[in-house]
This record gives sequence, structure tokens and C-alpha cells, in this order.
Amino acid sequence: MGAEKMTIISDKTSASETNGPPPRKKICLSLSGKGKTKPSVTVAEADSPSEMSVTVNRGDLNKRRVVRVRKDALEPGMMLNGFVPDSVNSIAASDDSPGSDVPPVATICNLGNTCFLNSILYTLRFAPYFLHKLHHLVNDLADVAARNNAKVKSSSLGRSIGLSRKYYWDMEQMRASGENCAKKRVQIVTEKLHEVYESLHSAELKESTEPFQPEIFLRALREVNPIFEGNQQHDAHELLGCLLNYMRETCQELTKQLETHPNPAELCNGASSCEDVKKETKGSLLAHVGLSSSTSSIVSGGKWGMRKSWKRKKPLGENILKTNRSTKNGSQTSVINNGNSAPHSSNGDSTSNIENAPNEPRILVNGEVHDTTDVDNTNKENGSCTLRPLQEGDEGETTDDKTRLNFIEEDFEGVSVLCTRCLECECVTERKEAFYEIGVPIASDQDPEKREDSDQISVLYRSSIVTEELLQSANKYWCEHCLRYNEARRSVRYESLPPLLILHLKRFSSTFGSMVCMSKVNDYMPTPLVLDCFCVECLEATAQEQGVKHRYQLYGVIMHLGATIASGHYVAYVRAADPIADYRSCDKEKRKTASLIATNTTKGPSQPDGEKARGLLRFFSKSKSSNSDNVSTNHLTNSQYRNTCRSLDCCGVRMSKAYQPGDSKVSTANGCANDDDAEEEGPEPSWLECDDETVRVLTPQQLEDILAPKQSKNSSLTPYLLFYSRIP
Amino acid sequence: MMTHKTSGSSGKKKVQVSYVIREETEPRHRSGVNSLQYSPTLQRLYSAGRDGIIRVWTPSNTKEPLVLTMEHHTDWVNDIVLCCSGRNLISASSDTTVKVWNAHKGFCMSTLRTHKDYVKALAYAKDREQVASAGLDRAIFLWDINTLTALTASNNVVTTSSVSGNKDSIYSLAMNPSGTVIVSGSTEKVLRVWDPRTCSKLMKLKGHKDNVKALAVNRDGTQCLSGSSDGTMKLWSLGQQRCMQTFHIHDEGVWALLVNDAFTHVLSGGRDRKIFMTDLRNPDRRVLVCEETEPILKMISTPDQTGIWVATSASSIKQWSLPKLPTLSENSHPADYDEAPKPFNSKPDVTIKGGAAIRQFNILNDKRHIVTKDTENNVAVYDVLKATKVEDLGPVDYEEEIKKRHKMTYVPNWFNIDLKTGMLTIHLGQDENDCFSAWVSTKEAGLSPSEAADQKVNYGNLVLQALLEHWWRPLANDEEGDGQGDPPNSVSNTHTRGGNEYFSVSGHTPVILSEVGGRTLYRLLARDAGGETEGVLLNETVPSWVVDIVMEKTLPVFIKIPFYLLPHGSSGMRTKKDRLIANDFIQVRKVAEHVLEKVLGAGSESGSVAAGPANADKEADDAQDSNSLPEEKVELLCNDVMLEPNMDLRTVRHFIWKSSSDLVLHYRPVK
Repeated sequence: MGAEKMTIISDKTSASETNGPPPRKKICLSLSGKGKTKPSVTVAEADSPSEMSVTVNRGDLNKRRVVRVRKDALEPGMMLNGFVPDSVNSIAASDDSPGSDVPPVATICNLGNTCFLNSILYTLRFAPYFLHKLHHLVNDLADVAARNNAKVKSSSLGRSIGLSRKYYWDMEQMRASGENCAKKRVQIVTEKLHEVYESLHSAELKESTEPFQPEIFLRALREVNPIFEGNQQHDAHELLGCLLNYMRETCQELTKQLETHPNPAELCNGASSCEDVKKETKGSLLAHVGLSSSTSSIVSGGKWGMRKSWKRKKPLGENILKTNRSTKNGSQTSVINNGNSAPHSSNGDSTSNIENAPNEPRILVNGEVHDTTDVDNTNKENGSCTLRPLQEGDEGETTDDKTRLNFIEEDFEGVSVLCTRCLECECVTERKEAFYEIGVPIASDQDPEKREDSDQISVLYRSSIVTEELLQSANKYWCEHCLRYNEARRSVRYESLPPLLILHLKRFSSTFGSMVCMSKVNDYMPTPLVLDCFCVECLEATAQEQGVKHRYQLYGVIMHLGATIASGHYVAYVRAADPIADYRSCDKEKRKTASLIATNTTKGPSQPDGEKARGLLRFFSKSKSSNSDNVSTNHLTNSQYRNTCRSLDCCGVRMSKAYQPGDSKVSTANGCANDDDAEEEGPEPSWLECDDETVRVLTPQQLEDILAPKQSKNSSLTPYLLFYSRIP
Repeated sequence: MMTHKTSGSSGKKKVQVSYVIREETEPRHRSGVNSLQYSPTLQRLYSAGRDGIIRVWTPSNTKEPLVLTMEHHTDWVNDIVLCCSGRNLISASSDTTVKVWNAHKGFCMSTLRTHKDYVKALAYAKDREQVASAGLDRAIFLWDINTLTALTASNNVVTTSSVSGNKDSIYSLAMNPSGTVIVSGSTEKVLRVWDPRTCSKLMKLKGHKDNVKALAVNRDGTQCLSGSSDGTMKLWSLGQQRCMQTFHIHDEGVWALLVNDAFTHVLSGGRDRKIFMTDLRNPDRRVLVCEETEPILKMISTPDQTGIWVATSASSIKQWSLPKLPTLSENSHPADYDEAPKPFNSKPDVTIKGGAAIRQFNILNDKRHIVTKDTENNVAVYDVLKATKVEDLGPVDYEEEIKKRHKMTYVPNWFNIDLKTGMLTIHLGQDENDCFSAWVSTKEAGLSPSEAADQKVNYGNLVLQALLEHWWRPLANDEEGDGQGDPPNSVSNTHTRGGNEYFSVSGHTPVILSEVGGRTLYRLLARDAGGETEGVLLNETVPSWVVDIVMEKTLPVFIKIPFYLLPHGSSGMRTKKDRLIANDFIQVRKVAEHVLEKVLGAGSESGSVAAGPANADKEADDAQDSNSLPEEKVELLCNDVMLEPNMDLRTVRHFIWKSSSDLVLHYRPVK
């Protein structure tokens, strides 16, 4: 039996080039079966997936289930797929050692139907920039708290504590201490989330094999939202929405506190300082003081995470813009002009700076200035560059006047426009809404032919997301101009999409009128690894046959297995990119080590240019520095270490050593990526299957198989939440 | 007047009663004008108003142009056609009906109820005296006019052929005079063409990017011109089934087209308010005829073809003169015509002035008076109860007038207001806004004839009785369910008379029975309800809940408010929580009376009050007087606010308690 399996595997390894669909399928299924069966302690319905797959693979799989024990031995073998031999060796080596089953990353324990929670925790952990920003948010909160009551650092800072969950302060204790009285519960959730990641980090440091138990976090969560009480299965999507909201509120709270404590230079960058993009340093801050100066940060609009300033967020949700068609454009441009004017006036000299000094920048020591310089260089756009990003600029920022000090809003929030046009008077009413995720109805009648073509898939998604409907017959629209019910055409468009886009496949539909009976739609919906952007701007570009301006790359999938929303199992699949990219050029860190800033700034230009140039892009170019310097997370050169935010060592992802060579190899191989499409075509960073206590590495092929259409409709392991990050 | 396919009251949908507050004669359009027709024989202009009224004008009489009004529609009249050499007029309305009128005398001959949604467009084949109607229900019906006009009370069945296949709401329709083709334009963005003689589908023409709102077909049915919301006009060859030319002339949607008989020149207008005259063979040869103030809805040419009548979404109808065709040369507009071409006309030749439409309203707290503001910024005050205008305030500050009239009183909502016709339409129904929810005292409402008599009346009850004051019906026969014969005895007649003892509404007030949010069942004037045919139709359409009020004189139920009565903390009395229920219009004074008599006066009885809550309001209702005023002995508080003795409970709950939970009142004796 075992031998048979091994043959399949070796088959597979060779087949990864030559294509052999049937064997691949088997492997994938056997693996997913394995993932379920091993943690049989907790997951009651653990066997159901393999049972589902049995219908596909018949006896073969049954055999496999019998020899479940052997699969442990099998697992490292799987790892070789897609990996270069030396990684195999290293795995094999570790395999022999007693602690052989060190997972690629720390695992999270299922506390009884908490896979909904675990899948989200895993996914957020690998969301680009998320950990880093969360770290600084929590840190800044602690700093502010410390300053406010001149007390000792709050335990929530968590740096000094929590090597293991046993040392965590109990929630009750914390509240009893009174220290957290002022804190909102949501803030505690945010802090506990950070602690989860800290613990995972330390577990990885220790190469612990014991799964982490997120019970403290769960308790904090239940404090805020009693809906998560009890041991029932919950909707991972709902949890995600809640979590993002809590973190957003925490960010707002921080902003509020910062406003009441006028020491902006110290903490102003707090929540959002973390990106590669250097924020205004003190000097530039002083130059552009004032809440409304959006300063040069706008210059880099449209680039990842760069849209921020000290403007307060305007309430956006209920903002109803009533325009008729002729004036709509006008109002839009005027807002954009507002945005334009700020950098023009305030950045006049920095612009000139860019134009003539690409090689000796940083006279202003203004983060954006030298950013722009880099963008300038790489984009070959020269002086016009300062304007260009603005024009193509992020509509979300300019039109809704929403420049934020809130990384949740910044990274996860997009703006949708509900546009209603009365067919009688043809007046247009627009309502803008901020969103975290987009619900995608399952298109059950797709042409199977189209599944293969990525363009067609993008079209499929676009047509399910960007919709138009007629309000008619009994569902007419009350036109405020005609003062009556008329037919109307209503369309949903996306004015801006967030850097991190979450798609929620609407698999659960409540049958109307009946009780809470959610039936699941199991129909296949393709999961594109790269998705064309469908924001207004990109659609216009497509209409003019120019192609989209940005695209989205898949970094996570949460699959749901089971028949109803209240039961079943969640498994997260994440793209384990080298985390170091998220931490480089952290401004926050710099301010703390002022002397290093100086070295860095002078040193800056000589560094690989892509590094600072663009947030997301650089992220996806898979750590150029590890390419150029040929180092991985653990072996940073000094200069890099200085460049890298230390929070990486607090709560960052730390892939198990055994897996790192492979990873770094991958990134090295791909190191030449630049800002065109080439980078997506190169070998991907590995994907992890995170199923509660079990995390394993997948080859791209395995991932593809998992996402592929199941032959049987009974197979209910279906993608449910899709996580994308923007690539320019 | 006949109803085609009498729908009766059998439908499942709830029926509401509505009435329009308006003048007896409305000589001017109160809102936009959707369509126009001109009768050369009588030299009359017919205009279809959004106020639901078709008006007939003699434009030559500039002082008194109005000849008559044709009032029977209850919603926008969307299209009209004159047929039978001007003897008859067909009208299509958003009340979902098509009506046949005697165009000379202006009375409605029959009502066609086959459409299920707004009827938006009509088309007329002159040679065959055939009319087609189409609307948002996607259906097209073909009507033979000679049959329609021959309908009588006994012969009221019309056979109609329908053309089907449309996938979306139809907004435009055209037929050629010989009736060989019919073209429809819809939100489907395609033109569909049929042969109306066989009702067979001929073709589908694709090309527009948006709704098609205007159509014209040439005489022999070989060419078609379409105007679309996408801002373009397209000339189609029906023979070749293709678009021959696209005209980008307007900045916004093209809503109205007028093509000359030779199909060589077109006048087009739409949302951009401009009217262009274009040579179809050479679109560069065009001239801006005029610029209107509102989007253009319809154009018809004057009999001598030298001018056009233009209807817009404003209420005035204007006549503009046209340039002579030969002058329509390329040099009639300079090469740089993009720079705002100068219109051929600067002023209209004739204007038939329209009136103002009410655009805003505010229901005052007494839920009886309404302050309105119209398109000319005039502010007026209306009395919903008596269905009449109270005061014209002129162009004053609307918000200020509302503020001025604000009273600290709360009366539940009992009606809905609709401004779609530019006039106040009041809907009485039994949905969220139950029309029987407002009980008031006649004294406060100023209804009681003398100071002394004070009674509780229900607003909805009074209005319904007043609206149907003249309606009578044979009770006995109705019970049997089949009799339509005359009432056998006059006694029952007198017994079934409606009306209330306080007021009547003007006889000209239109009363409308309609399905809630849907089709109109019947419209009549309040004074006509006594007529025989009207009586028959009322019997069919008036819902039972109205019959109960108007005929049976049943009183609507009282609205109750539960509340707790507690001694105030400062009084130092024992706290005993009494839950009471009283009518919502009970005044604080009555509660004080109750406290005095039942709670403080005879301490032993307080228990019984709590046990029998119904007692509370009975007690309070009775015995108007006691020798000394109760409010001098007991004061009541809510949320620690001293309550005025003449404030009623619902007002206390709304303005002081401000919560949906049970009202809590505290009492303390006055020392």
C-alpha cells in the first residue's frame, strides 16, 4: 500500500511538469482526507470530506483511508513536490529527528467547532502587511495608554509576556485590575489578536509542535459579541466582518486619543506608519502641519498603503450625492482637483527636487520625496510622476475625501457606488458605501469552457459583481424628482477597491419566508489566482481596450466543507510569502532608532531600487533583497536588519527552518521580477493548507487541484472566502 | 361610462380611498405636459397633463384659451391620440387605463383596463382607425376604434388583439397610417417590429445603448427613426433591417421626435431642453430651433407647418416658429457651431401658461393641516379634514411658516400624501397609516357647534363619511348578494345616507378607489355619488371597512395607551405600581381626576383600579366636572416634567416620555 502511494507521489513529482490530471486528483483528495482525519480529537465530522471524495475516487481512496497511519510518513514526501532537492533533503533530515513533524508554521488548536475562527486567524496572519500594522497599532495603543495614565506599560502591549499561552493574563484578571476599564472591549479583542500572533511566533521560534489554543482571544471575542458564545459552528465570514470592524474601531480610538494628546510627531504615524513608504518625518510634518494638509502622501496615491494624511475621515456611508448625469462628472473632478491642489501647493519644491535629483535625493528627508524618486526611476516617468499617480489616483481617496489614519480602512475598505437612474426623468441618484467585502453570487450556469480562460473568469466575476438591475413592476423606485414611483435602472459600481480585497462567495442562501434555514449552493465557481480589477477606473480602461490598471492576486482562500452554515468545517489556504517584505523600511522603527535613520537615509539610494518603491508591488516581487543579498528571514545582514521593523520578531510569521530553504530558493529563482506581469508567471511562494492543528505545504499543482471543479456535486469542500491583494 | 372587463372588488389587493384637494376648475396644467394633439377641424389643441387632466384649448383665443377639461384619469396622462377625424380622443395613463373620449364634448366614453402597469405610449393608424397601446407591462394591445366608440352599457365586451414578445417595459410606440408596421421601443434597448394585421413578428433592430423613448415611422412603413436615452437618434431601414445612420445631435436623451411627411427632416428634443431641426439626408444641415426651460416631452406641428407646439415637464405649452426648409442649409449654422449655436427663436410665439405644481408638503402636528410649497415658491395651507385650501400665503419662507404653526400636540398619522399630480392627493388606507388612528375632541378640532358639547371624533371616520355623503345603497338587497334592483322602500334610503354632522366636503372633490399602490378601480366626484350608475359601481368597489363606517355608522375602535401611575418620590407615599390603560386622547386632567377620586380620595379603591384597567378610561371619560378642578389638587409628572392638564396622553408619550416602552406617570398632591 505504502509503496503504491509512493509511486503515485513520484509519479506526481514528475507529473508536475508533464500534466497527469487523474493521479493528481487522487493525491489531493487523499491529502485533504488526511488533513481531516488526523485531528480527529476535535472535529466530529472529520471523515466527511473523504467520504465525499470517495464518490469521485472510489476504492482507491478507501484504501488510503485505511492506511491513514502511513500518511504521516507520507507528508514530508508530499513536500518535495515543487521543491528543489535540497529542500527535500532538509526535510528528510528533520524528518529523521525526533521532532520531525514540526509544521511549516505554528498551528492553532480547534477548541471545539472553532475552525471558523482558526481559518480566519491563519488567513489574516498571511495577509500582506497585516501583522506588521497590527503590531504597531497595538504598540501605539499601549504607548498612548502608558502616557495617558503615566502607568506602567499595559500588559496588553504584550511584548514582555506571553511566551506561551499559560502566561497570558486572564481576561477576568485584567478587568479586575481596573487597568483596562477605560479600554473598549473591541480594543481588547485587537490586543488579544496580536497576542495570538505573538504566541504563534514564539511557538515557531521554539519549533513547538503543540498547537496553540486561542482561547483567550475567543473569550475576548465573546465579550464583545455574544453571538460567538457556545460551541456551535459559526460563519467565518461573519467573524471576519466583526474582527475588521473591531480593529477599525480600535484604530479610530487611537486616532481620537492621539488628537486629544497633541504630540503628533511622536505617535502620529501610529497605526499606519508601518509600510515601506516612509511617512512624513518630523520635519515635513512641521512643514505641513494642519489637519487638512494631505501633503505629499497623496503624491503616491494609488500605490499601496500610501493614502494617508491627517485628514479626518468624513462619514461616508450615508453620503447621498444627488446629481444628474451632466453634473456628475463635474463634481467628481472638482473633488479630485481638491486633492490635486494640496500636493501642488505644499509640494512644489519637492517636485522640483524629484526632477533634478534622482541620484541625490532626501534633501527634504521627506519620505514621500524619496519614494517618488524611486517610483520615478522605475517608472521612467520623470518629473510628471508626481502628478501621474494622482490622476490615475485612487478615486477612493480623492472622491470620498477619506485619507485615513486607519489601516483597516486603508487596506480593507473599498467604496461602492449605488447608482439609480429614474427612467422617466433620467436623474441619477448616487449613494456611496464603504465595504469590507463583496458578496459574489454563485453563477451556476457558467459555460464550462470558460473556466479555463483566466480572462473569462475575470469577466465572470465582474459580471456577477458589477451588476445592473431594473426596478420595475411592483418594485418601482420612488423618484424624488418626479415625486412618484417610476421604473429605474440601478447599478452597483466600485469606485475604489481596497488593496486587500475580500470576496465572499454567496454559498448560503436563506430560503425566503421560512425559518433560519440556510441552504448551501455547491456549484463550482472558479477561483482565479489572478483577478482583473473591476473598479470604475479599470472598467473604463477596459472599455477603451486599454486593459485593466490593476489586478488582484490570490493570497488566501477559506474553504467550507459541509452542507449548512451551522455545521461543517473550514480550512484556510494561504500563500506563504516571505514576511520580511512587510517589515522593511518601517518608519516607526526608524524613529525609535534615530541614529540609524541617518545611516539609512544616506545609504538609501544604493539599495535595490524596487525595495522602497512600491508597497504591494515590492511585496509581490518576493523580497528582492533576499534575492540580492541572498538571505532569508533568519539571516539578515546588518543593513537589512536596520531596515526591517523589529516587530517581525514579535509577532511575525516565522516559517519553520525546515521549510525556509525551499522558500528562499523560490524567491531567489523569482528574484528578477519587476513591475510587469512577469512576476506572476514565475514560481509562486508555497501555499499552506491550514486545517486547525494541521498545516502542510502545498505545491501549486495541489492548490490548483483543490480549487479545481469537483466532479461530483456532492463534494462540498468549496471555496467560500477569497482573499486578494492588489498588484499594480 | 362603461368599464371594460369589470374588475370589481374581487381582487385580493387591499383597496384604499383617496381624494384630491383642488379647485373646482383647474384651468391650468399643474405639472408637466406629456403629450399634445391638434384638431384642425375644430382648431383645438389637446394637452395631456401629468395632473391627470386632459385640457382642450383654442390657442387663437389668447385671453381665454381653455375650452374644457377632460377629467377622469387619476394619474399622469402619458399619451393621447385624436382619431375619427377629431371626434374621439384616446388617452393612456399611469393609472393603467386607456380611455376613449368624446373629443368634442369632453366626456369619457369607456375605460379599457387590460394593462397591468403604467400605459406609456399610443400609436395610431389613421387609415385603419386602429390604435395601439403599450406600457410598462410589456404588452401591446391593438384597438379598433369603431368598436370602442360603439360600446354601450349592454355591449361592453371588446376583443383586442395583442402583440407579444417584448422582453421589457415599452416606452415608445409608432405605427404608419396604413397600419402595416408597428414599432416598439423599450428598456430592452432594441426596436421590435410587427405587422399589426397579422400580429406577426417582423424583426428586431439592435443598436441603441439605452432605453428607446421616441419613435416615428414613415408613411409606407419602410423607414423608422428612433430617439434614445443614450443621446442618439437612429434612422433604420425596415426593408434592410439595419441602421442606416446615427445622429449625435443631443447632449442627453432624445425623448421626442417629429418627422415631416416626406421623412426628410426631423425635429428632435429631449433632456437637454434643446430642439433641433435636422436634415435626415445631411445631418450637418441642422438648426437649433429653440431652447426650452425644461426637458422636452412632445412636439406637434401647427396646421400650417410653420411652427410647433412644444410640451415639456413644465406646465406651460409654447408655440415656436420653424425655419423654412430651404433655409436649412449648412451655412445656417457656422462651422463652429459647437460654441453654443444661437437658437432660431429667442421667444415663443404663443404661450399657454401653466400653473404651479406642489412640490413639498409638511404635515403639521395636528395631523390635519398641511403647509405646501409649489414650483413658484408659493406657500399655502390646506385642511386635509375638510379637503380644502385654507390660506394662500404667497412666496413666503416655507420653513418659517411650518415653525410658526408648530404645536406641542401629538396626533397619530392617519393619511398619506401623494404629490405626483402636482396637487394634493390624500390616501386613506388601513396599512401602516391606519386612517382611523386619529381621535380628537371636537372642541380642540374646532368642530363642535357650541362650547359646551365636546365629543371625541375620528378624523378618518369623518372624512370618509363626508366624501361618500351622497352615496346610498339598498341595504337589504346587498345582504342577499345579488340584487341590483331599485331599493324597495325609501326608508332604507334615508337610513343609508352618509355624511357626518360636522361638515361636508366640496362636491367637486374627486374620490378615487384604488388598489393600494396599484390600479385605479373607480373615480367619481363626491357630489355624484348619489347617481344610479355611480351607486352600482360604488357598491362594487367600496371596501367593507369603508362601508361599515359610512353605511353602518360603526365607530372605529379607540386607540389605547397603557401606562403606569406611581406616586412621585417627593410625595413620600408608598409605591404601588398600577398599570392602567386609557384612550390615547385622554387628557392629563382626567388622569388627575382619577388619581384624586380613586387613589387619593378613597384609598381602598386603588386596588380595584389596578385590577380593572378598563375602568380607567370609562371613569375618565365620564363626569366632566367636579366642583373643584382636579388639576388644582393633584399634579402629574412624566420624566420629572410637570404636565399641562390639557395635554393628552399620546402627546405626553411622544414629546415627554419619548420611548416605546410603557408610559410612566407620577402624581403628587398639590399642597
